[in-house]
Amino acid sequence: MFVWRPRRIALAADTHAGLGLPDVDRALPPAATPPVPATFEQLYHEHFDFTFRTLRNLGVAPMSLPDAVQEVWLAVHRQLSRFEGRSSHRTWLFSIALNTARNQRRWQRRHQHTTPLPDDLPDPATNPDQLHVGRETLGFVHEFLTTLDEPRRVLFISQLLEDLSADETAELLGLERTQVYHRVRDLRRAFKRWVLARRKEST
Amino acid sequence: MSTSRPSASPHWERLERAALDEDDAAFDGALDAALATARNEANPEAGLQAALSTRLQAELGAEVSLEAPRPPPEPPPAVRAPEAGPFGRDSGVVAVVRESGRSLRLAQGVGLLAAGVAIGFVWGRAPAWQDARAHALEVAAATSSARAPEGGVPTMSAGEGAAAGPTGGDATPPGAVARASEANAASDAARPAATSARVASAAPAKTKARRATPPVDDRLRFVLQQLRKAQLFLRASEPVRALAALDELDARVPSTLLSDERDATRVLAWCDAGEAQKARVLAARVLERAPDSPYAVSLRESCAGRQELLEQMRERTSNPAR
Repeated sequence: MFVWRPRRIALAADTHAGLGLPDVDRALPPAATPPVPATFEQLYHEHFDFTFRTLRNLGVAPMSLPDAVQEVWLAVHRQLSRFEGRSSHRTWLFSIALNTARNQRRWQRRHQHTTPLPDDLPDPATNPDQLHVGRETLGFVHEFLTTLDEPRRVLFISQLLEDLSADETAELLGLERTQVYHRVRDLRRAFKRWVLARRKEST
Repeated sequence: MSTSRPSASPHWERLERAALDEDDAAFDGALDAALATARNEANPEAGLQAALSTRLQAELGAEVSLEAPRPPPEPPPAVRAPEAGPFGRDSGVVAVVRESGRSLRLAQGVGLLAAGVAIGFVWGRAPAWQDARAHALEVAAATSSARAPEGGVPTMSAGEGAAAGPTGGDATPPGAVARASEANAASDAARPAATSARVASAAPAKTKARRATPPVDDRLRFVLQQLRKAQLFLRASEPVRALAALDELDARVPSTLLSDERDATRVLAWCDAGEAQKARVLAARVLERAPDSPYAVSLRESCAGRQELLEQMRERTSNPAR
């Protein structure tokens, strides 16, 4: 029996309108429940934080984040009229953010010959009073994310950080739902191994 | 750069412990807690969206309207009193259920209980139908099952039960059955007053019930927003404003929701504001309540923990024999 599978999200070369953005909406099968049509303003106010977090977790440098977020929303504005509701809004926005992050990285590789210091360089002499649990936690989560290849990073962000549904993640990555569950379980175990390895390094 | 621990986050400590114990369930729990914190931390800074909205608006022109800022966090809204009967399907209790998306049965039960208590309260106070009540209570056990509810009122609401309880409504006195018709007549005569009193009393009761049980999602969102605001103020070295945000939070949402997070943030804010004594007392309370809290390390390393160490040192200095 023929089973139609969505193709994987377009790679960098497979871009849309020269913007580095895939036409994900066409690439995905119809969503089980089509999203309610939304205006640009509604999407913007509802999902601004989501796109910001996604870009940040995808590794866009803090200093480039405002530009990247703006780029995402300009792309959303351009493409909204073509959005047919075949995927959820979040899946669609995630794919746009993913391509924007790729473009940012590519641009940085081309235009920066020296590696800038990361903005969130850990300070060994942390003042206890300034200790911030959130920042520290985000720091080691991002450190783990840098050890992952892109598909696994996308899986980690969509499933474990952003709580996208298994169906949404499956659409995003061109996987079966059961594959998503298995790979998320593997990711959790990988995180555990990484924690033990980091502990071993530090002692 | 060599540090003793890869991260100063207490979440890291929990993860390490669970990983060493080979306890997958504990590790998954610790990981989920850490990821929830990381997700919250990855949110944009306050004011960034407004700044970007301005830029985006300039780029897109009049096609879109992004200028209107998002409304500031509001306390959970009180649901408008419906016009239907207090227990009807379109009542405020059901509206609360719909809005909160929580269990219909649970919320209806809570609503019925609250309304019943209010009815019982009014019933016990209204002098106009005291006599009828006295008679009706005497025969409550004999007649309650035979009497059909009026206006959708359940056969025996919690309030009615509460009203009957103290006067021995369960124990039918001798001759009660013989006086049943008299009691029925008396209570029938009192019913219009009682019904209007129920309607009148149920409205404020419903309002109180709704205020007491706002949608859980809204409360949680508000708590998270205020906590984040307080943490941002802390990071910006503005402890007074952080404390103001926490005070506003405490005034609007009971302190039982995310109490560890709220108290830990307050301790750090007090530390920054120079209120070490207050911070120490609260930190001690938090640590006593939850010694394994993810915030325990932060608290012990804060001015509150250091103050305790200083006092121990002073004590040792003043009593060298100890």
